[in-house]
Amino acid sequence: MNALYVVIGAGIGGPARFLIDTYLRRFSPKPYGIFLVNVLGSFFLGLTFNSTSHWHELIAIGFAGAFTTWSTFMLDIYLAWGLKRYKEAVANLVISLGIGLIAAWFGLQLA
Amino acid sequence: MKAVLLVSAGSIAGSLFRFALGALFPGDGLGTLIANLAGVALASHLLVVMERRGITELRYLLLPGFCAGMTTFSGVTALVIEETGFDYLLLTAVLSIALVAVVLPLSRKFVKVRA
Repeated sequence: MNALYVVIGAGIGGPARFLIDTYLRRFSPKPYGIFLVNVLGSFFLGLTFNSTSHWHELIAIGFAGAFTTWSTFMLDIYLAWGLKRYKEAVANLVISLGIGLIAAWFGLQLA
Repeated sequence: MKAVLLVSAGSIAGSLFRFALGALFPGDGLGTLIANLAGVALASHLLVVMERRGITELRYLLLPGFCAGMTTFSGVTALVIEETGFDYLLLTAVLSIALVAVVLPLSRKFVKVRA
């Protein structure tokens, strides 16, 4: 039954990430969309991280888990480095993780 | 619209896989670590396959769908703050970058462009 909540959350979170990223990449090839979803998703996951109800499966594992992505984040960094865009690669790594951690902390405090 | 549905289906499958790994390896973020590393390795290989073979529709299902759904950035940040500390972040980031740096060039070497 818990898996059903994951299905519903991921069914919304995954396409929401894709639409935001696709829209923002029209304006810039830089991964602003992935940065935005990763920060927002960290906040949402923080809000429901310690929940014992179905909100944990629905929001933390399903929605925020699928809304945010580690694989695209890592590929963006590696590919930018490969194109000798070193500043962009390092800025993406440091700023995403820094603000993502702050967002998760805020979510956890508000929970 | 078709692309969105493919991404949604892939994300659901990837998230269920991550959920199952979390149940199999509970505590200390081990399930999340395995999901993220497996997703990074798979995405690195698939990116090259899709580039070389031009598989567009399957790309939606597998890359922004399955791999992005299986891996999670928010799981890492929340775990670091609430449970594991910064060692976990360092471990995840270093192993992930190492995996991309090994898998992507190897795939570029062995996956041929379809004639």
